[in-house]
Amino acid sequence: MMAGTMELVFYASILAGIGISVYIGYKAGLERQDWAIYGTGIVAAVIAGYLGMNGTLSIALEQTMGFWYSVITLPSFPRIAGVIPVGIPGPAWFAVAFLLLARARWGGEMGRYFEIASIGLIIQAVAYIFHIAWHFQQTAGPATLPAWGVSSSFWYTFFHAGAALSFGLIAYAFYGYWKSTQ
Amino acid sequence: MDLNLEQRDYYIVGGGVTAWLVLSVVSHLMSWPIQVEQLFSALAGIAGLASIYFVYNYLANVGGEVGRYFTLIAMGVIYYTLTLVPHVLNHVQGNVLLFAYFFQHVMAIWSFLMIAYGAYLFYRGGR
Repeated sequence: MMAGTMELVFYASILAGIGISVYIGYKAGLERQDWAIYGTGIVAAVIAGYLGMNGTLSIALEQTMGFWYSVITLPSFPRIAGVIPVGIPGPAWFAVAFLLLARARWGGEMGRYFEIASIGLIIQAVAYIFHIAWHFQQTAGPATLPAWGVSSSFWYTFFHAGAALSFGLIAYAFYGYWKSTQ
Repeated sequence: MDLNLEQRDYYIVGGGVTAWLVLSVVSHLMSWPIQVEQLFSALAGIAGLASIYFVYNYLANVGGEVGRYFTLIAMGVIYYTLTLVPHVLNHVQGNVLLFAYFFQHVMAIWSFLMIAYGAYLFYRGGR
């Protein structure tokens, strides 16, 4: 894929992700505070984008971003032995906590699917930490991905099948909710 | 902890985790090449698209507060699912798009935040 096509696909996916979200949000009649929260994300992302373009933020920041994630996620150290403890799915831990607390209140089918989705989120959040740490230890091409005491082949499958499993469990939960309306 | 999971859920979750670990060991023993990542990522992508389909159609039938909470969660899932692969491709090509790079990382965090927000409202709204 040439840089040109990849650019197009990336921007298209961002616009699609936001566009579909805004559409369903509008149809659901989201409240002012919901739009405020979502909108703050967009604004923060745009600001971050410009700060990245003019060099104020450097890509190396990603490797130390763990500290900033701790502000909105869980207390964590920037890196421990090359591992960012929380990372992008950090807020998922809050989602898991609330879903597990909510399941007792809603009970029944709702509670059941909260639990299934929580398992998917936990697998995603835990595997992510080590998946990214693994990639940070990559010095050049794929051949330099570490074996970590097993083999890089083990980890190719462990991380990517793990992602498929976590996405699959969350899909199973959404499937259940959809089925209950049929 | 008294779970609401049914018998079949234990088989599905247990089976999934077992398959995940068995495949990883097989991958190690057979020295599967890095291309296997694309196969599993494709499966993850299909699951992600299925999630979007189910939640989109579910939302069409559900309104009120539950619909609202689910919509917030769906907004996070949809953005993350649709942008994940293109964002990784940008990484692989050396982070050539600086604006998109930083935009994406903030919005990816925000996606999980939206999921947490929806979950929080479920927690607050349950009876």
